[in-house]
Amino acid sequence: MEKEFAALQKGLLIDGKKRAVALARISKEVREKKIRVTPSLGHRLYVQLHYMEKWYLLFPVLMAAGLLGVVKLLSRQEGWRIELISLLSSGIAFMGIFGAISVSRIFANHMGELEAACFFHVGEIVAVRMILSGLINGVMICVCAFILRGWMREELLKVLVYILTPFLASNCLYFALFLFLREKNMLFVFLAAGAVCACLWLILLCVPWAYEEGMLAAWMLLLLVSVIVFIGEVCLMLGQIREGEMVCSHWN
Amino acid sequence: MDDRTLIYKIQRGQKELLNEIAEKYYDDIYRFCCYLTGQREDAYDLAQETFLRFIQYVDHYRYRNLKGYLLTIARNLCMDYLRQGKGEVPTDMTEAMPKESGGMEERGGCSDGISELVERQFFLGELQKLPRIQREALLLYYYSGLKIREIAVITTVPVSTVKSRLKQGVEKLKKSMEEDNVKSKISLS
Repeated sequence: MEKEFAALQKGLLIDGKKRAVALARISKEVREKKIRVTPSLGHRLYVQLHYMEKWYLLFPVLMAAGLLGVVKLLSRQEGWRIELISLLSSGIAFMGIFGAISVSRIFANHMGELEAACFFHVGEIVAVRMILSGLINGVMICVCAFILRGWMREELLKVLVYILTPFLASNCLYFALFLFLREKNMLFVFLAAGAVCACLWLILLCVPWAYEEGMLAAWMLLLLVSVIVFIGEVCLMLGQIREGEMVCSHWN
Repeated sequence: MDDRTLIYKIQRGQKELLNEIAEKYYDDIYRFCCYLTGQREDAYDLAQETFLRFIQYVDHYRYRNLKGYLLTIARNLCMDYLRQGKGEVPTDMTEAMPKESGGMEERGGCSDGISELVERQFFLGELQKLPRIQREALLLYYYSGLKIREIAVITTVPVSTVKSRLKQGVEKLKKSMEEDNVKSKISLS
């Protein structure tokens, strides 16, 4: 059967003129065609990294380094344990504002309004910034927890929970402010919120039993609640961006 | 330049390479449309329309098997064409058959070439007599060289259905060709 079909390959003559006419018509369509270039994921990521502001990626690193320096100095004091954790978690809670500021600046700069006209994707910009910010903050938190564990001779998981919980809980507040406040420039709102959160976590210095073994479950519960609320806020934010509500809510 | 590179370059703005694809696959697509619909004249339009559709969708095309993709478009166009009730009476393909068989001299004789041509014409006639779905499966498998799995995707039927269509089609063709052999032997005697 293959032989018979192979014979058909050249078994039908094609009218050269008609073929030329068809190819000319196709060629005309090719000339009129406007290719909409769809960049690859890697290229999109490169563009995002190229055009984004770099300061907010640097600030958390500098702040974490500064915090570790202070904590290192304080760690020379004998018997300081809760103080070190509390100071570090307070600083890291403040550190969360950089991610929130970078996202809010997208809307303060009217990028939401420009999206349709300038062919960029606000949701994608927000997502890339949040992922990068989350990665840097996450690495910084892990580094801090690892170093602090060495200085305090505590379990890594415990230290991680004590630092991560204030960070995530504070971020929930920052993103709630971003979602529900109708402010054009959120910089000072975030700075104030960051200061309040930092002070709140420092209050734990006066509550030494908060860092006792029995309270670890409560910390983990708070961490879990923070994670859920934060994910909910991110979904809400991306939904608002997709539906264009974020543009209107930041107009005035 | 292979198909993958062509598509990569086209999607990055080198649209003139679309002409290269049309030049490369036009004959295959034309013949496929021709054998599937049985219409020599309308097959030119169907083949042309296949490439126009491809040009329309090329921005979003994710490369897998370019020829298979073009055949899918062609097949869908042919189905639309046949659904409209066109092509009920197949045109005579023998007019478009080459009068001299390729490689006739190599096999050392004119009579061999003529008999081959007659055989090919007969085979084509029998192919046109097959039900459309069997003809389609045979053409995609034997003529276009697609895999059974690919044919199942193109024709949106299960793999087992493609296999049974192929089997039935081949059996019918073999049977008719055997009958023809018997008839020719009787007429010679």
